[in-house]
Parts: sequence; C-alpha cells; structure tokens
Amino acid sequence: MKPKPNVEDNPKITFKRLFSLLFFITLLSSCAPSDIVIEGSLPIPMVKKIPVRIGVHYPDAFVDFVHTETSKEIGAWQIDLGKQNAGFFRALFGSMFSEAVILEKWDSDITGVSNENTHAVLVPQIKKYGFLTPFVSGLGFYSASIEYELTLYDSRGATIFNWTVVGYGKSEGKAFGKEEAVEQATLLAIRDAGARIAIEFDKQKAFKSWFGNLEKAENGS
Amino acid sequence: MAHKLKAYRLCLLVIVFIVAGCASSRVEEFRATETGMASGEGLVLLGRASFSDNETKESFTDCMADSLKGGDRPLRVVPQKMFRDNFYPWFEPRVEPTSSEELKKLFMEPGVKDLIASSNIRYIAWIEGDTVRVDDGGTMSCTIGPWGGGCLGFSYWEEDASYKATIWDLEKMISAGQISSDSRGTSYIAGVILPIPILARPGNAACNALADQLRQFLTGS
Repeated sequence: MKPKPNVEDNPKITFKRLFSLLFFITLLSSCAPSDIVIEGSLPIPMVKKIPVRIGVHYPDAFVDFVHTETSKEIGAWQIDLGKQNAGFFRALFGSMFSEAVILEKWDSDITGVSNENTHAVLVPQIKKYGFLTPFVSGLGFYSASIEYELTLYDSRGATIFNWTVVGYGKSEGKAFGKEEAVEQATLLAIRDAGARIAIEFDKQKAFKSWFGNLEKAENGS
Repeated sequence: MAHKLKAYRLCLLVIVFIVAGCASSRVEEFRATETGMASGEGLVLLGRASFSDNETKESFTDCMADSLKGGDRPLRVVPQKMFRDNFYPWFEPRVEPTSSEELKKLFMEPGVKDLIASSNIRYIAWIEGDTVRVDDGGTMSCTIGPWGGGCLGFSYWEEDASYKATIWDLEKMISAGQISSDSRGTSYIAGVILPIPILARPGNAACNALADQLRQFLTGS
C-alpha cells in the first residue's frame, strides 16, 4: 500500500490551497456591498453676511438621508450623507446670515402663525442624489450630483421662494478605492452646491423683493 | 565571436527601446508685462476646471508645485487645496474668475483683497490641459496559474501631454502672460515571459518643462 503523503509538508499542495483561498477571497470581496458614511471637512464661506435673523429647520429626511442603490453594473451601495450635509449647512447658513437659529420643529402647513423671533424660516431638502462610476459612464473618473431644494418662508409661514440648486463633484478613481472616490466626489458636490448657495442666495429675485420690503418695514418707511 | 555579436545585438535592442521611450518637449512663451518676485512673495497653481474627462489632474499641478519648490532657486508655492479652502467659495470650479476683469470684481468682495495681501500671494498660474493617448497598437497576453505564469507579445502606445499656464499678476491685476508646453512620447511593453516595460512619461516631461519655464518667467533668471 502506497503511503499517504503528508499534506502539511508538501509545499506544492500548500501553495495550491493558498492560491484557491486567495482567489475565493477576491471573488467574495468584489461582491461585498459598499457601505459609505460621507465624512471630511468642508470650509466655511467667506461672504458678506445677509442682515436677516433666520430660522433654519432641517427635516429628518435631510439629516438622516441615506442613498441606497443596487444594480448589476455597480453592485450594492449604501451612502450615508445626511450628517455631513447637516453639519455643512449649519456652518454655511451661520456664515451667510447675521443670525441663524436652528428650529427643531417647523410645519409649513401651519400658515398664519406668526414667528416673531426670526425674519424668515429656511428649510433645505435633498431631492435627488446620484453617482456614476467609470464603468457606467465610460469616463475616467467617479462623479456625484446632489439636487437640493431650499424653501424660504416668511415669519407667518407663507412661501417666499423655492430654489433648486444642483451640486456636482468628480474624483479620479483608483483601482481599489471606489468607495473613497465616491466619497470624495460627494463631498465636492456638497461643496459645489454650497458655493452657489453662498454666492447667489441674496441675488434671487423673490428674495430681493422680500428683503426690500423687510428693510422698508424695519426702517418704518 | 558569435557570443559577442549576440551581446552587441542585445545592447542595441535595449538602446533602441530606451531612446524610443523618451519624450520630446516643446515650450512656448508669451509675455504681456514685466514680472518679478520679491522675497517672501508666493504663487498658487490652480487647475482650471472643465468638468470634462480632459480636466487638468491634481497630480499634474502637484508635480509642478514640487518642481517649483525644489532646485537651486525655490519659489514659495501656496498649496492649491489650502488656497481654495481659505478663499471658499470664490475659487470653486463653477464660480472661479475666468478673466482679469472678473478678478477685479472679485477683489471688491469683502475680505478677498485683504486675505490675498496677508497671504503675500503675488501670482496665480491657471493650469489647463491633459495627457491623452493618441495612438496604440500591438497585442500582448499574460496568464497566471498555480504553477506559474508569463507574458508573450508586444504592445505600444503614444501619449501627448499638452498644457498651458496663464499667469495673473495680483499686484497689477492683469494677465502677465502665457506659457505652453507640449510633450510627446511612445511607451512599449515587450512580453518575453516577463513583461519588460519601456515607459515614456510625457506628462512628467511637460510638468518639468512648464515648471522650469514658469520659474524663469516669474524670476527672470
């Protein structure tokens, strides 16, 4: 009877097993869902403060925003960008207005209820979020876009204006850093939208009209 | 005798590969005004955003910054990210100034002129361009398995690195001039069991050529 070879001492068999193991680990890791929490620092804008005491209400859907997407092309993704958004918008509105007060509760349906503590109430919302990988777009980078809707109400709850702002960001991808590239592109999209809001908010026609009336009322003319 | 001939042929082949792997560069300059940099004055290199696939990559501006900061006559180069963060939102891709006229308007925004002065930044160099593949050919296949692997074949590709730097003088508030650099190179990979790459790096050649010319343009030496 032929003696059974000692597997532990045979380098060829050990190598084959190691190769197979690595092969299956690589296969499994490529199927794992991509779970990202968007983090990172964003700058505070250097703009002239708008002399308005504003209340800002961040809806739960804004603060807890998580994007989930599954497809054959890109696999399963879960991107949590709510906390990053909320933190950035707090800093953004804090630097844009002479005073920005966070309102924990706000119901736009309760019109006619006077809110004397603030001149107006601003409610930001995320309407859409999307991202593209080089595999889907055919381009050599990852990109992300976010569509925000900003609604400004006067102190009695009447809508002054609705403004849709789209932010866009792109990031060079690396072979094994797709999550990092999508995170970077998303941060740049938030930053891009923030830049537009900071520069163009007080140039909106409806805002200028409302602000003109506010100034007149404050000056008593 | 036969051995000597073989060695001679091998050396010749290697030299042909090395020579073919080099990149050739051409630099052109247009000067609109006299320039100079006092001690402590700095410049910032900003990649011009285009939102297309051919946008200047951050790695290129980083390469230029490293080149300008080194050598016998180092210049003070303000990091691009730090500059954009400090001046947020005014130098974001969507709102950045595209002419010296827009720069003059930007300097009227509160805090911008003072921050430029306190940062002692004399010049902005806007970098545009990209490295693109213009031709490729050949075939090479590689296999790998538990018993070993190898490559067989021959492959080549030609790249063109075309970049332009537009220099703005922040003291005189004018465009001081323009420098362009164009580099071309062909890279090869020969697969003789082991893949032997002979790489031309036109992007790197363009970076060094543009940085050297920019240094000369700004300091006059």
